[in-house]
Amino acid sequence: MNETFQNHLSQEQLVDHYYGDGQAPDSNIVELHLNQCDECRAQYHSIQRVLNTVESYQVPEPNQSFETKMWRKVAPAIGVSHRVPRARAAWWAGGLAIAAMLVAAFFVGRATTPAPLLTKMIPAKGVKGAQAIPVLVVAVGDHLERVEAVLREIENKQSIANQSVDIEFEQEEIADLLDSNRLYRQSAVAEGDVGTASVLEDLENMLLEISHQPAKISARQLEELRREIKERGSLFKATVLGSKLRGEEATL
Amino acid sequence: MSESDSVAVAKVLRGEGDAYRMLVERHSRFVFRLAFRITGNESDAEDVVQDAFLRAFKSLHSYDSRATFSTWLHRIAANCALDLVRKRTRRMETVVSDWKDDEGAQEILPQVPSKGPGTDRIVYSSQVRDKVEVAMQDLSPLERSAFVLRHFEGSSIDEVSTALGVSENAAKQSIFRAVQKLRRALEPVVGAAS
Repeated sequence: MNETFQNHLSQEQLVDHYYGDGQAPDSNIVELHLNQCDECRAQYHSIQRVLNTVESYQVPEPNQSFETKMWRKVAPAIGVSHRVPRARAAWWAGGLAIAAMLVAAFFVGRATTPAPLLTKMIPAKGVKGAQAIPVLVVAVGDHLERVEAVLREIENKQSIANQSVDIEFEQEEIADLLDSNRLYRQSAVAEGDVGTASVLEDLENMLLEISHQPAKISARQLEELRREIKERGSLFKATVLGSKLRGEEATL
Repeated sequence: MSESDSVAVAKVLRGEGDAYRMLVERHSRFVFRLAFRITGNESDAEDVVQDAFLRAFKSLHSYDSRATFSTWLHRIAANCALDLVRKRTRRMETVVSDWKDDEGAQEILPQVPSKGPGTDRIVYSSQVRDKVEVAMQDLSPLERSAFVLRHFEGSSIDEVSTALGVSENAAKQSIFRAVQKLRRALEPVVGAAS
């Protein structure tokens, strides 16, 4: 090994210098050497070019609901409910629309017979003095709120032509909702509450339709889903029945 | 105004599990980026994010608030990612080994891109980004993890060695080998462009 080569900087020194975190005690010596040695300077520039090029390594941006999706996965494992606070659900629709729904709910409420299932008073477990609360009214009301939120999420999903839309997060929520929807529908049928059972059946069909889609759908498929939600009146039905139940809950 | 990480950590340690949600929501996107750079695919990166937050929760009592929660979490995530990539590599080696034993596989095997500098593979790619990706794939799990921490996360050698559970010398050598491999793979492209 000749003296000239020994005097050149090693590859390791050059890499250390590139990342220059001040750990290298000889960083000033390296800098001085680079100013004087063409060969080492060329080597260093080559390392710089390669490592700067590595910066172009792309990381895909997770979708907007990524944080919520992660929390939904982590929460059960640490013994915490993953439910998103109601304020974060899609309740941002205009006041006019909500007012219209409430008016509709009023008329639906008047047109339907009292629902035995939904007005049944069930003694709450662990409550002293046999105090009763409308457990099913609250449960179905909460359920409909979740159905409404997930349908709104589908409705408001951003889509760009020729790009797929990820609905996996919504499908996970729907898988959860389908089980409870089935139970509530069967209970409503058993109690003879035809109106509620019918609405829940319609919602179930719509939810099934969404859950059978692939996790990533095209903008066109998304558009078809939106149209179906609208044609079936799923969102409207969930909102109307939900409003009616909230009204009943308030009077019980 | 959202509360600081240390306040949230204190709440979690007091038994308020809900406070952990803020930490998950605040940091999961950053952890995903680190995890993706080490694992190279979205699905594995998501698994790493989940695993990292679970491991962090279990060892939260050992978190030293002198380090930022983010640094501590990234250290855990890098370790999870390295574990996952090592397992994946072992599985791949088993599959390839089984495959080699199959009659007729020898005819197909030469078509599988070889491990190595990657130069032959990248000449077929038209985009530098693709070439960088291919070059990154040719790094060993430890080389890739150490390099990602050093290059993209700006970690010191000491931090890299702690995160990956290796000696400082091993961390330094892994980074150096990674840079050498990247140079061999990318210099023809970068040199031609300059």
